[in-house]
Amino acid sequence: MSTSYEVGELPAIKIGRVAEHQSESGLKIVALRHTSVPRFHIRLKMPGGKAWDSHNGNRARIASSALMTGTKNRSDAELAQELQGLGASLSAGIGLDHLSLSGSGLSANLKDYLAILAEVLTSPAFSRDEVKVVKEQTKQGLSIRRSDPSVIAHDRLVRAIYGSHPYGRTTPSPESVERVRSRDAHEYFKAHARPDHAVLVIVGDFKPAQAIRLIEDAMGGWRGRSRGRRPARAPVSDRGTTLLVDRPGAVQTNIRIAGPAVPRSSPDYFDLVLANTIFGGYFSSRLVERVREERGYSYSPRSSIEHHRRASVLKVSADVATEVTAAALVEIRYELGRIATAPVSQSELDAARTYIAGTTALSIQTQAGIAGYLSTLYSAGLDASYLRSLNKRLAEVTIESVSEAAGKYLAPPGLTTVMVGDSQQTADAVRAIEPRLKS
Amino acid sequence: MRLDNGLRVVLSPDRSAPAVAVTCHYDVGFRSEPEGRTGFAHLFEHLMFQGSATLEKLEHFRLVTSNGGSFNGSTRNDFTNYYEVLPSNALELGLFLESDRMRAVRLTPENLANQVAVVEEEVRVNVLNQPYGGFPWIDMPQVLFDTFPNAHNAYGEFDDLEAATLEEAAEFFNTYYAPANAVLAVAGDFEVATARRLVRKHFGGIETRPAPPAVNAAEPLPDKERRSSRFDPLAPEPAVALGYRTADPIKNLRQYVAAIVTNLVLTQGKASRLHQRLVKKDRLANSVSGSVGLVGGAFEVRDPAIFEIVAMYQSGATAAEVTGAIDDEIERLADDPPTPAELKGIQNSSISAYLGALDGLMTRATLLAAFEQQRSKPQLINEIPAIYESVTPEAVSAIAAKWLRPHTRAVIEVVPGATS
Repeated sequence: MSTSYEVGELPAIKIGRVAEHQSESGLKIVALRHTSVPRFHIRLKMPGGKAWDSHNGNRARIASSALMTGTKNRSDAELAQELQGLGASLSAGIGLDHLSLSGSGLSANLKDYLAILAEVLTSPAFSRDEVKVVKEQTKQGLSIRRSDPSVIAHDRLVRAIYGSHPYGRTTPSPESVERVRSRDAHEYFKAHARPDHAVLVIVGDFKPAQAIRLIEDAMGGWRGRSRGRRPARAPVSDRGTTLLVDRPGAVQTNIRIAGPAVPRSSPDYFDLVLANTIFGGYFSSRLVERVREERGYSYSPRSSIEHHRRASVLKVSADVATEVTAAALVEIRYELGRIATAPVSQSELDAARTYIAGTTALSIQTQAGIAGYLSTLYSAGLDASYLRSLNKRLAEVTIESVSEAAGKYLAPPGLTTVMVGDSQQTADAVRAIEPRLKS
Repeated sequence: MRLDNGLRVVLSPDRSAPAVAVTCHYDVGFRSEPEGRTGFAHLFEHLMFQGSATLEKLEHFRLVTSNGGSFNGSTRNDFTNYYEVLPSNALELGLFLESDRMRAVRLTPENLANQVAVVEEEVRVNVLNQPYGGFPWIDMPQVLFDTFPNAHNAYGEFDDLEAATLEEAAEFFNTYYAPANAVLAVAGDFEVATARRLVRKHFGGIETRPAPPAVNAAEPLPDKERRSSRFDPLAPEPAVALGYRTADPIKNLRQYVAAIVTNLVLTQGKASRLHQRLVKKDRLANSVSGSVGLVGGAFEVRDPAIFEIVAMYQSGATAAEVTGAIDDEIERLADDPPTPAELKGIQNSSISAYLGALDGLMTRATLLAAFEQQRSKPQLINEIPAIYESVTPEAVSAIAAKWLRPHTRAVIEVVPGATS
């Protein structure tokens, strides 16, 4: 038996040589050899998400959902079975800023896989029958999302912080999907699914030069210029509005607090990263220790920095029991105010630094993990040097620079608060501490 | 490796990246809970993070995170595990932390009250305040099974959670948290000799206590179809879940894997039988999904496990139409085995996905620990792909014919927007 143990030096972040290649079509290919299992992962991101859709995002939604329902040569079932036979998967996704295709498979079948990827990109069918099915699915999906309290809270929050900017759009009604025709979805796809601003990341058990050649060979026929208009820069409200949205009978209140943050490329980004980590970014943060471990108000209170192409946001979330809504708000704001006005301790700063360095290294050890990380970096205009310089950047952060960032970005008066819960049971108590409360 | 106090240890070195996963599996889960104490195993899992003889509350978390690692625990039907994923320089910290709480848990009234509140918030966020919350993982066992170990609400009734006492927690620890009832698995970047030495150093001195008797969860198949409605005021759309029993995952792994393959033939992706029938052809449903196993996995479970099919259907359709079409397709599969291409697709994609999952150190450590604990056979981790390969078209038909019968199943309908 022993209570003594030794912990050595934290290992450096290890990442192999990342091969970058610019195709004639404009496609950027990023390839990394990672041989942990005989597989590969692909992430293809094309600018053109829901916020790029001049309507309510439904054309983008249907375009991505209908993409894998067939090509000129293959039905949905044939496409799906072909991929399964290769031990592979491929799915389309849609975010605010990107249309994406991601998947994985056995390295031995990479060539055949790329042929399917190219086929999906260059000759999707968007058949009327298939789109009809997808519309039904989308309608039901939207209906379910609109009943989910965390989605309701998210919708009200983005509307409050982004206003009329496309980032501020809420989940549309199921009926609104009716208006999208298969032609609209196909047109949307053709306008955005182009190689000129796309980034394809591939990670796995292969030689990078060979993977790049295979991609070039397979995707040579994928051409054209994207016709999307990127959304304007999105200012994030710093007016500090507080809003209570009534959800009669709710057993919990979803509290969301948000304000402007800075992008990864900003000089004070890592000051903010560590301020956020110490405040609420991990289990040993002030927020979790106080709101969960001391008070028992919430299962999973947290804060994070979210990045979009045209905005960065700091966001705090806590789902709390209805009867402690006001008390929880007091505790969260207390911790926000404390970090914004008083220095953090050296041990808090060191712990947060090692946490970010260590868990980032852990998160990029799988093929899927590093593929996702690289895809995020490259499609945000950054590259692998972000990871290589991470520890150095973290080491440069000081108590003073954390305090400065916290004072700027975590001070409660500039943050928007949205609460979704039973207002009959919560409004009086909340109003007692927040006289400007809107509902 | 087995220590004198009965702790079993599985070591799986992999020097490719500087990380280690440490997991400690205890042979205790939902099925071990005493009557009147639903949710106790999971509540107790929370208490195991609240301090030990040597560590104050919050210290355990801080030691992991401040060394660049992550941690968690999970409670399942047949085991409870605690784990850390750490940079490899902190291997000994992980071993210390797991040995430290195996030796003694710190139980205080404040920590108990605090964690009852936290677990209740967990249940609210995942179940009570969530449309379809817990559907069907909480609902299905309560309808398909009869005996308390299998059929109770595993998250726990609030009355039961609030009635839990420190004495019960101490008793639970003494009974189930003995080294002889645990398996430690370590995967990742270490030298085996070093790991052996460190394991002995930290776990060797933990006192020997008897392992508890195994839970008897066996029960006969239902003798007629069971139907139940879930009135869900938050859910806007109808859904139906079908639960069937299946082969014993431990005693008859080959047939159990054939059941997994059968489930995938029916439900996986756009090529699947039920997608083509319900979503495409009949336009009854918008999505179909399926699973075989219990909470949290297919392979880390003991009998009885559940073969499940879930359909979100159109508001114009009825549950009877949906189940009728599913019955047709099961009948058809029982009569006509899957085509070679159909079967090959499922096998290849399953094997590939399995290999992909093993890329994560934590998945590897979890499977190794469960295979050692439940089967005394950690090397099974390497044999699963070959078992998938060996499933024949006839075996799939046989599963459909033998296990997927209407009179031995449970059917649960979600009634949207209704309280009763």
